[in-house]
Amino acid sequence: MRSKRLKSEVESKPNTANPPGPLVKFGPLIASLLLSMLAAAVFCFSVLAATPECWRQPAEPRELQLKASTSSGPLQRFLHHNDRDDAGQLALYPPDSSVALDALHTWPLPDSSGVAAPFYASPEPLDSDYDGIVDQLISTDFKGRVWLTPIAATGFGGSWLLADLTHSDWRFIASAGVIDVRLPLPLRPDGVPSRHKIVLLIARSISSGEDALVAMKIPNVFAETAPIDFATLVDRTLLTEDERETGLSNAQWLAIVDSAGWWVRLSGQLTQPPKVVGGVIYSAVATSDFSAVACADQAAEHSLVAMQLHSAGLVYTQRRFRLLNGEGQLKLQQQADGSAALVLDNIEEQQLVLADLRMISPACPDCTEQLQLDQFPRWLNLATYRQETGAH
Amino acid sequence: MRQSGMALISALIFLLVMLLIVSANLFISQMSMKSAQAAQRQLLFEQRALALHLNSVSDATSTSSEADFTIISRCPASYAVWSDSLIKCDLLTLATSLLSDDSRFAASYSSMLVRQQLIDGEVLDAE
Repeated sequence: MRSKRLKSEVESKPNTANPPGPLVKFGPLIASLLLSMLAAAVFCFSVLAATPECWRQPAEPRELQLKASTSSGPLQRFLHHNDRDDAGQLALYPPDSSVALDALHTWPLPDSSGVAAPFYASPEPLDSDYDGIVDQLISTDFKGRVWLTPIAATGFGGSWLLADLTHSDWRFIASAGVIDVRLPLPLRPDGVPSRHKIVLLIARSISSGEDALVAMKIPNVFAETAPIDFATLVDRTLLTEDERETGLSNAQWLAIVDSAGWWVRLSGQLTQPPKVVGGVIYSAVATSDFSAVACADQAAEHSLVAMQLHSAGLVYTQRRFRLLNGEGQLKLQQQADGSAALVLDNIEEQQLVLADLRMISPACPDCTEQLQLDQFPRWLNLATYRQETGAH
Repeated sequence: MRQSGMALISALIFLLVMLLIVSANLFISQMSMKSAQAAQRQLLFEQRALALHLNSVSDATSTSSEADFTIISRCPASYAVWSDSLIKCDLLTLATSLLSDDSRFAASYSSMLVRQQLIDGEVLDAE
């Protein structure tokens, strides 16, 4: 009310016969000043909102073998994940044509359907029925919406929204793979299926530029469940003193495994895709010289982060190990006694990062055993069955 | 009276002869022993077929050629999981069958074996 009255007083002023005041005299000057300030603010905001180029890996087309509608074998297709008008889209191309067979622009959202944010993370192909042919895709957009889309050689099916991990600080820049997990009976909470899939995502903070690793469970029956929310993921960034000294308690384990997933701040920027070795995630991160607008380079300080895949708990006495530099790829190295070591392999030298690697063991939530690489190639007998013809 | 007595005696003699013939037949053919052992023989045969199959499974893990394998897109789910970029899996389906010496029994077993191996170039050898 008061502001309205003030406004009317201001509006009524020019109608009076008084000579023009200083406000009217310098009006154009003040207006142009205000406009330029507004433009500067918009420009600053757009600079802050835009993400640096180094956040994004080049969107390479991916070759897939997909099921054809006829009984002939799988057909070769190329999957592109591009942006159009700043909205993420998937397109499927045949190998011999530049005309897309199908494209997906509209995605289901929590309330309705609409456009996706750009796809920084490349979609992960899945073979849900283990017949050797890709039949589903998991796509994660920049804001953290995760969709599951059936795919065939002819095009895309209807998508489901698996998760809406939208958060004011985190943007999802890459995917570190989808992993098939089987939990042994003693480590499984009631009601949790023995087999499920975990999708590993890399999120980056728009305020600090640091990365977080997100492990999200893909529900087996996704059509009936509500999309997973970021708040339902367990924050495992800090380990309690008890967990450091006595290990993960059974109750903590069951709570984490029963939840939708976990996430951990890495206090640095990932310099290469994380590797999962025997149930342990190894991530190489640059811990200095990065910000929200600049990415770290090889000259920064580097470290290795190791954590348990299922609980993000401790595998070794500590999570973090120092790397001398960030040059080269993390590789496994087989020692003379068959044990494994992690080395940073570059052209000139191999830097030993961690010797006597451990793998997780199903005896207890934080049990480990020594990883032996000489057990490979390893044979698993999935099933032995008797074929019967006729009755005896 | 005498005639009916003769008929009874001849009938008894006939029955006796028949009994002798049947019991001799049974004794010679050992039918009751065979029927008593049939179930056991079948079990033994099944066990022999399974032992043969398991032997060939252990042989296959060392001698099978690459052509026998079917490449599967993903490794089966496990607890201590590996990244897809580090490990690959192949599937081997192995079937054996055994026919008994007298061709009366046949048993066949099949196994699905997964071979997990590290992808070349991902694992370095110690110098």
